[in-house]
Amino acid sequence: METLGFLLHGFAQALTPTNLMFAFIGSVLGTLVGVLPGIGPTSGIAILLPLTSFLPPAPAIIMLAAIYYGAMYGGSTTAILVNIPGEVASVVTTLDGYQMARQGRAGPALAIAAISSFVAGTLGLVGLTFFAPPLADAALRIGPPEYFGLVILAFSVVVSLSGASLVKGLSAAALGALFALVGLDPMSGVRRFAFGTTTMLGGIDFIAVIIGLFAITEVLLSVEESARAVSLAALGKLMPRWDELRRCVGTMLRATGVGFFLGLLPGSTPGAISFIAYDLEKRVSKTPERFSRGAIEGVAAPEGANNATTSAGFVPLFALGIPATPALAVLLSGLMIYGLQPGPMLFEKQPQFVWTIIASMYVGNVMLLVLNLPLVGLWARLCRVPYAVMAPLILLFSVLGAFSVRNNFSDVGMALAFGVLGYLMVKLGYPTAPLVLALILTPMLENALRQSLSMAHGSPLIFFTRPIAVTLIGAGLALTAWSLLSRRAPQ
Amino acid sequence: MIRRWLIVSMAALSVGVATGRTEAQPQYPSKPVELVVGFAPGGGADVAGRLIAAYASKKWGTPVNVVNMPGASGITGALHVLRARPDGYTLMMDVHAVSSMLFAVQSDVPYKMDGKTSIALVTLDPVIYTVKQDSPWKSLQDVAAAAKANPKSFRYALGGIAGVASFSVSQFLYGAGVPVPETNRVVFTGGNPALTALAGGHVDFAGQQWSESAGLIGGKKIRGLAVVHPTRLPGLPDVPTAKEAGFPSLDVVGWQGLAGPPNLPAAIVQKWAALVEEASKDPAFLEQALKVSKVIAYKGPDAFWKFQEEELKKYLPLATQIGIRK
Amino acid sequence: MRRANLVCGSLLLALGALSLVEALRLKDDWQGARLMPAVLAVVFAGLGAGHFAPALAAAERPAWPDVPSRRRVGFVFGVLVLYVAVLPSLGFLPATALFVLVLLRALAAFSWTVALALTAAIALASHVVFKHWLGMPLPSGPLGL
Repeated sequence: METLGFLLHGFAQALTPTNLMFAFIGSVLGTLVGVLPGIGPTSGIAILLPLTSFLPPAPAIIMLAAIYYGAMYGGSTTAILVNIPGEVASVVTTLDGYQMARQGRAGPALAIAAISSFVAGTLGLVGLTFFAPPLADAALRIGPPEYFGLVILAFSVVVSLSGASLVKGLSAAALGALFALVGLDPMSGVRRFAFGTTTMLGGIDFIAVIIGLFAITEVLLSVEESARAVSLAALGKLMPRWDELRRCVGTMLRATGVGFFLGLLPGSTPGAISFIAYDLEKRVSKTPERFSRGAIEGVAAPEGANNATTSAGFVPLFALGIPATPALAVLLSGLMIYGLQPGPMLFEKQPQFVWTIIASMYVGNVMLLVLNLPLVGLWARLCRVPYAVMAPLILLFSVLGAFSVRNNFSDVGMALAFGVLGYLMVKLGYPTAPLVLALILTPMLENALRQSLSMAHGSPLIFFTRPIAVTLIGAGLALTAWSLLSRRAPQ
Repeated sequence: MIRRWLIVSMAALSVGVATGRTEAQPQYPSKPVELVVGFAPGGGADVAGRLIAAYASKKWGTPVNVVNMPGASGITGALHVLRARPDGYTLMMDVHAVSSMLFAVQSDVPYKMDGKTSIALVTLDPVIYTVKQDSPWKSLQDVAAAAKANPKSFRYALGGIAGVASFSVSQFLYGAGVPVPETNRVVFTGGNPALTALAGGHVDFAGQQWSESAGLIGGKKIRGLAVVHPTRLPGLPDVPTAKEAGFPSLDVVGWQGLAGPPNLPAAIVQKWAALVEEASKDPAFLEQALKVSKVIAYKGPDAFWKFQEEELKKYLPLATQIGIRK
Repeated sequence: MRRANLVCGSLLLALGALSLVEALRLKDDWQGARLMPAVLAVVFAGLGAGHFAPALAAAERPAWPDVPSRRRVGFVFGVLVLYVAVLPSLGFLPATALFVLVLLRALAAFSWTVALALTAAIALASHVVFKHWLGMPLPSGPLGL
């Protein structure tokens, strides 16, 4: 067990006071970055990147990495408390998390989010520790046709997210797909659905959409029925019950599996992965009807998947130098400033550095758990702040959050418009989650489809010549059929 | 500024040296300067922008902040700067993808190529032609021969349609006499996804920039066949120059420079140009640029603008020939 | 409900037509930029038609609020739009303070003292954190704030 030896050496380094301190600073900053809507992990890391000119490589990268995975812990907090997903990856967490908060169970929701994040994040690190180079090589074999299959599989989730009416759910998804096409098409350079305006040219950013559909819509709904506010719910128990924890063990393991393996693929989007984990949980559950009504597994699954994805993202980063997310791209430029070129050579040439970073991530995850569990009480108490104070705050954060995406007021305008759209959709019985999912998946679907076709001189037969692609497409169709059939069956 | 505070305090903490090398500047810049990058953090333009921003901040003691405004392949950020007040506090990283190459590909860009004040060329990002590590092709000649023999099964990757690869790959293929319309052009959303697909064997050939290719070449997942540069690149001694490889006419290059809104006062332009010129001679700066795979190549305001005009002249016929001009 | 479905269905059909027009207008291959708009045109047409099916009419009724509630929603959204509209010219701190104050007074029966104190705290804290520490390029007004 050569790896274990390396890892132990890594721990010896990671546990030195300096490195511990930087892991801690990174974890705290990451949590903050996740909680504050005005700033995501990408800009968080970018802001602190200049520190690299002063710090030696190990502490700097330890801190920047901690910001990245710490943000995933923090992102669920606002999703649960006020229905604002701090990150795309937390959209799914709102479905059950916010419902739990409204039932006075914000404490257990926040706690299970932290626990599930810890378990899945750490298990993901185990995968990173022992299998990084071979997994990275395997991930390379996933090309455009396979990504197409993956998207088909992910789209099957739309059916089960559709709620009472399938037509309405699919309509919401089609709307999301349409919004995804707006703007300059990077593959051909043509402008679509932009109507000659330069504002639409940049496309519709999904952070703006999410802020509109979730946060602003929620405030409008609460204002409408003034008694609706979460603040009236009693502050119940802070920790999940023992039987709930036990029920979530399987959830966390499955979420880790989904999150880790899909997270290895640099071309898949983290937001979509948590949707898949959520759907899987709903399918294996004996009581799927509890989902979207405050099921604790509905919080554990997406949060676990997020963090397993985060850990998995370091596999292609370290082993190949391929960043799977914008935040990892910034981290990569941090590595390069130190002359540390990621790739298989990094493990050979700089083993001490790599293993110190990996070991520090185990340490950081423990820190985040220890940091976040006591915070649960504090956050949950936020629910008792009068809604008249929370509403302007949420709206203010929504404006700041939408603005910060591209430092641009047109995104704020977009968020406002989506606030109205979300309000009307809720009133008319259209679910909003399929819209978000389609918005995330459509670019991936379009790219994969067009790339696959151009790989094969325009022949759709390419999908049948690639076994993994065929399997994925088949599984997607089968799952869709299953969902459709179970909709017909009497509840 | 939390970031300044952190930088200073952490520098003191870890190295034990305080920064504060402040030369009092009474005139420009008297407040923080915004350097707009029209792309997400971590990309080629962003890295170059952060290099020069850090240098300027340190030199002048006034923060030069990189502001990322991604969207519409860089057009959103460019528009923001070109419409800003020409007071020198809103500048942009001008790159091939929002200047010469974009104007070669699109006839209806929402701004004019000369509707800006060019300040200085900062970095070049040379093109490297690459194949998968275990590809049977050992040279550009092999690639050309294979593509000519069997164009219908030849697949090449482009990282974006208004990007470097559109021109680098087609310049090579047309130059070598390959029947390009019969080949398979697979367009990706950026250099990274394009090269990842190359490493996975989903396409056969690519011609992306050095900064994008260096990682996968170092990791022995893809192999460089030739680099478009007068000399071989540091760290890649085995990759011949295009001239050595027998293709002396290849000359596509990625670049990053500074520009501002139209009618930027000459004093500010000069001040920045002088700073870039000075940086281009600073060994520490050169070393940093090398680490992020960039070639420092200073050109002053007039030379920089002339360079862009030459680029456009070169790319326009190519774009029309390959049918990507819209 | 019947009417809402007809409106939404017609809207979807209109979006389908829009997608079709866009697909035909674009100068690119059918396997390129035109592909997805064309697919969407078909999808929208199908879903729009689906809204006219009688089965959907039986689904739950929309719960439109009564007039005072409706007015409250309109007011809050109007204030939000106004806030975003004046932000660039008024500056972040003054606009935010006004916005928070108006909503605090409107949404709950806070006394002026409490409302002003809360406003000052929220506006100042957000100014310091977002504009100052995080360096977000938020607009400054004539007061330089």
